[in-house]
Parts: sequence; structure tokens; C-alpha cells
Amino acid sequence: MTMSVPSGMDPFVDPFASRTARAPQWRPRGGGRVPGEIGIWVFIFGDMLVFGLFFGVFVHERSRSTELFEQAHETMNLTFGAVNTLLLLTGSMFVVLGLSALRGGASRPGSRMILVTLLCGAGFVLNKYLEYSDKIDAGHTPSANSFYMYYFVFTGIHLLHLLIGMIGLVIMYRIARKPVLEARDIRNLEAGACYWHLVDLLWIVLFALLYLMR
Amino acid sequence: MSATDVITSPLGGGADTNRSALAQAERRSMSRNSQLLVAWCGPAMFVLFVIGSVWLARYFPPAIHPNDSAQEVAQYYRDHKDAIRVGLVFTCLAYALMGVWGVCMAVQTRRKEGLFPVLTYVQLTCMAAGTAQIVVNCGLWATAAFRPGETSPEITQAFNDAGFIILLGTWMPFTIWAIALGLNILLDRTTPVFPRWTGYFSIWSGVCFMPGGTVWFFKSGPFGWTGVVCLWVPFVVFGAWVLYFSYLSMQNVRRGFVHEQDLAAVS
Repeated sequence: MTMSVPSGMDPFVDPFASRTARAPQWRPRGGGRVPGEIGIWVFIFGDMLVFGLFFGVFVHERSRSTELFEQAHETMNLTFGAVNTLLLLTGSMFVVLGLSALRGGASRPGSRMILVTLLCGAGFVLNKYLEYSDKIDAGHTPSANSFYMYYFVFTGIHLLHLLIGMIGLVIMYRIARKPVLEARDIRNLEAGACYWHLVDLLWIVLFALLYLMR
Repeated sequence: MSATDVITSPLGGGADTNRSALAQAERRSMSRNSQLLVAWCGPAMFVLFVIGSVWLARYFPPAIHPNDSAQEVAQYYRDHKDAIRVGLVFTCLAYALMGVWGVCMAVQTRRKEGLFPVLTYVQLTCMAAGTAQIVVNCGLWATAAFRPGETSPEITQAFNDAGFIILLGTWMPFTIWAIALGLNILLDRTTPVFPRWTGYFSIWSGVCFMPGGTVWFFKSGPFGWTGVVCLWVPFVVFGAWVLYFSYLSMQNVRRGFVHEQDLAAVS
């Protein structure tokens, strides 16, 4: 087989570059607009699917040994969970405010608000560290009982997502400080913000399951 | 000088240029076939894995539970040693083909990285390390199936454990590999080799391999090696990842996007 190459084409230029029609931007019907880009939503729904499975496993196991889960639940400290929920919700609010400031071209306030979100994330990590050490000191290790096993694994995986989100926020902060934002920058900022909301959303369900459900 | 010039140039005609055009076409056809061959290693891996691990050796889903006693494990190996040995040959072959399939991905993304293909090298290194790991775990299981009943049951159990602990617990190279592939797509500012959303899909897959790590800590339930979180999430996502990217690569090759070097070679 032979591939026809347009005359005068520089051989060091990738043939893909001239074929922009190959990967058309996916657009939803009805003229709507996807925040960020479609790919980040593939990631977000994929993650929600896996966490949905985690939540299902937790509720199923809880229904099999309700008494143990009730007892272990008594030893949970609601304050830690509530503070973390508050921190994440505040962070999400600031990322929304920051993004709307950046869309309006206000680089300085926009980037500062992203920094506030980053601080909320750091607060979450610190609070989680205090909570984990508190639990381990009290003898509630992952191997103590199945409630604490789920507690440590699920909050651990969530913490990992949060840390990835914080790396995303650092990148967003760097983008936000650019003097002029291109369409690509806005797309990346939106994608990062959507991911941060996912971290927030997953925590709210975890908070309800681990701290509130009785 | 460009490719069409070589083929149709009215001035430089002659036998030399015709021969070089022919050689180029042949080279391209070879490149195309070899790329299709490595891309087909993805589905081939899947079939061999099903024959070896699902049907014969029963490592997926695992017939042996992490909290089975040493006697039970040794008994199982003694009763099924032939099926396990033969099944492991197929499984090991499937895992070894992963190394070949990884080359397919690297070749697809390599051309977009220019002189410093950092992410492609990361892919290759991690893919090779990952392949080595899971080939070794087949060796450990084969060791368990080598003298079951002759050695003490604890030894059989330890080798069986080691196999699962390597298979699921060493997710790190796989995760880095999938993230490197995803970044390769996402950091491309022109038209990426694969659709942009697959970059996110690849990174998500990398994240989904992580729950396999719980195998080191738990002997039962969803986090043990028979569990839905520890075993099923990484394996199902890995399968989807391999099959979908195989499909995309075949599509690329069929559409005529072979290798940039084919174009460079004629200049």
C-alpha cells in the first residue's frame, strides 16, 4: 500500500498535523457545552463508577454485620469528618469563584482563589493525618475490624485522589498566573475544577457512609 | 524533496528513483504488517489468558482463597497439578505478549515526541518491568505446582501467596505506564495519535490498577486476592484498556498512518 503525500510536504512534520478532521471535538446535541472537555468527564464518571462499587461493597458488608459496624461507628469522631467536609466545600466554592474571575480576565484574584482552594486541600490532609494518628493511637487499626478496614482503605484511596487534585490545583495556579489565557488554558482550568468537585462529591458520600449512617 | 516528487518527478525519472520508490513502498508495507502483528498481541493476550488462567489453572477467578489453610492449598495443587502446569504455560505466554503489545503503544506515540521521546521511554521501561514481574509470578506458581505433596504444605502455600502478591501487589509500573501513555496523548498540542479522551481513559485505568495493592494487607473480603476491589477492578479495567487501545492502533495503521520515518527516509 502507498500513502499519498502532498507535494512539498516537509518530511519532518508529522502527517497527523495536517489531518485535523481525524479527531473531531465531540459536542453534545442541542448546542450545549461540556465544561473542560469530554475526556475529563470520562475520567470523572469512571471514578464515580469505581467508588460506587466501593460504596455498594460497604453497605452490603454493613448489612451482614450490622452490630459490629454500629459499635465501631460509635468510636468515630464526627468533628474530624465535619471539618473536612467544610474544608472541601469551601475549597469548591473558591475554585468556582476563581474560575469565574479568570474567565473575566481577572488573573490576580482568580489565581489567589485557586491558592485558597489549595490551602483547603492542605488543611484536609493535615486533618486526615491527625484523625489517622488519633485512630491508630486508640487501637483502631485497619486490621482491628472490618469497619476500620473499610474506613482506612476507602479514605486512603480518596486521600490519594485529593493529592492528585492538589497537583492539578498547582498546575491550575501556574496557568492562572499567565497574563493572557488561551482557549486551551480555560479548558484545562475547567477540567481541573471539575476534578476537584469530584473529590468533594466522593468525600460527601464517604462522610455520610462512615460518620453519619446509623 | 518530498515523496511525491520521488515517485512522479518528470525530470529525475530513471530506474534509480523508481527502485527507491518501490523499496519505500515495500518498507512501508512491512512496517504496516509488523505494527498490525504487535497490535493483535492485545486480543491474543486476552485469549491466552482466558485459556490458561480462567479455564485450566483457575487463577482467575482464584480457586484458592487467601485464608485457606496450608493443607487445603497443598491439596488443591496436588489434585490439579497437571491442569495448573499447562495453564501456567498459556498464562505465562499471555503475560509475555504484554511486552510485545507495549511496543505497539510505544511505536504509536513515539512519532509525536520528536528527538526526546521521554514519555515513550517511560512507557517502555515500565512495560518491561511489569512484564518481567508477572512472568516471574507465573514461575512462582509453577514452583508451587512442581512438588505439591512432596514438600511441606507451608512451602506450597508460600509460593502460591508470593504469586498473588506479585501479580496484584506490584501495580506501580503498570500505573506509571498507563499514566505515561495518557500524558503522551494529553500533552500533544496538535492532533493526538489517539482521540484526546482516551488520554483521560488511560490515566483513569492507571488509577484503577492501584486497588490491587490491598492484596498485601488483607486475607479476606473485597480487599483480599479474591475480592471485588482487589482483583476485579484492576483486571477488568486492564482488559478494557488493552483491548480498546489495540483497536485504536489497528485503526490507525489501517488508515495508513504508518511511521514518520518512512517519510523521512525518502528525503
